[in-house]
Amino acid sequence: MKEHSEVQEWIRACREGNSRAQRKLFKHFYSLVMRICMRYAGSTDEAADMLNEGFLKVFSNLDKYENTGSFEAWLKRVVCNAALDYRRRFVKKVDFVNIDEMPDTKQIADEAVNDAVARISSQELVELIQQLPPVTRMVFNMFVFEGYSHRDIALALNITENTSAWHVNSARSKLKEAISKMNDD
Amino acid sequence: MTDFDKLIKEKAEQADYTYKPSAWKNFQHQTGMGNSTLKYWVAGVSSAVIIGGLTTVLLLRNDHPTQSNDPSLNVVAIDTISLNVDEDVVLKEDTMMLAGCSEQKAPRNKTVQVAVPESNKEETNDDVIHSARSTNSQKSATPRYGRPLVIDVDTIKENVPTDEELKKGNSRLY
Repeated sequence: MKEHSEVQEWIRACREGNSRAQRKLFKHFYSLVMRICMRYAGSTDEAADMLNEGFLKVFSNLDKYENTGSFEAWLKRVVCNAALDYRRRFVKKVDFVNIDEMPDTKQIADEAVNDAVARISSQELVELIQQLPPVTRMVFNMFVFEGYSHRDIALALNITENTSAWHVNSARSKLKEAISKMNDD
Repeated sequence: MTDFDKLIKEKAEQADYTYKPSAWKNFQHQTGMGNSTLKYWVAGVSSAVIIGGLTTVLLLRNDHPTQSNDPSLNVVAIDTISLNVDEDVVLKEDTMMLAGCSEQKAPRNKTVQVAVPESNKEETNDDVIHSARSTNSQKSATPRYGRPLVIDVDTIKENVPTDEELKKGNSRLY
C-alpha cells in the first residue's frame, strides 16, 4: 500500500517534469520493463533500446493514465506496444507461410520437455526465446505472454490467422528442441 | 494455450534484471529526457550572470556620467565631502567659506562662482564670492576674488572623518 502511494506520488511529480521522480519510477519498474523487452528483442543491446523507447512513451503519455486502474498493467501495455512498434520498424513484411509446412510439435515427448524446462534458468529460457526468428518471436510473445488471440495478432500484423498459428507452432517446436539440446549437453 | 506455453510463460516471467545506474544515463543520453532540472538550473544561473553583469556595467557608467560625455562637473555639497586641494591653498580657511553651499554645476576646467552663506562670512573675513576651479591637474589662473580653491574631483574620497580630525574637533565638514 505504501509502495502504491509512493508510485502515485512519483507519477504526480513526473507529470510536473520532475527528473528525480522520473529516475525513481525508472528504477522501480526497470526489471519489469527489461523482462518484456528481453523477450521481444534479439539481443541485450536491442532490449536496452526497446526499454528506452518504452520508458520514453511511458513518460510522454503519463497524462493519459487515469489513476483509477493499475499503473503496472498500464505500463506493461505501453511498453509492449512500444516493443511491437520497434519490431515492426525492422520487420517490414511478414513472409507468407505455407500451411502445409506446419512444424510438427509432437516429435519430442511433452513430459520430457516440461522436465527440461524446469531445469533451465529463467535467463537461459529468455536467451532461447531471443534466438527465435524475429516474426516468430513477436507472434509467440503476443500469443503466449500478452494473451492475444490469433485473430488479434492477424489484425495487428496484417497476416492471416493461420500464419499466426504457424508462427506459434514454429516457436514451440524450436524451443522444445533447443531446451532438450541444452539439457542433453 | 498449451501446458508448454504456460510453463514457458511462468519461467520467463521469473527472470530478474538488476537495475544499473548506467541504464538511466543511457536513457537520458538516448532520449534527452530526465535532465530538465539541470537545464533549468543552467538557464537560471546564466540569466542571473547576464543580468548581474549588465546591472554592474550600468551602475559603473552612472557612477561617472560626466567623465565620458558631460563636459560639466557637479560641485556637490562641499560640506559633505573631503577635499584634496593643492598644497599652497589653506584648506581649512577656504573650505569653511564654502561650507553649506548648495549643489552647483560647473563646466570642466572653468572657473565657477560659489555663493557663501551668511553664516560663513564672519569666519572667512573674505569676500562673499569666491571662485573655485574644477580642474584635474592644472592650477587655476589668478582668481578675481580671494584665493582660489582648486577642487580635484577625481580625488574626492569619502565622507568619513579621520580620528585626528575628530580629536581636533574640526566640525567644518561633518
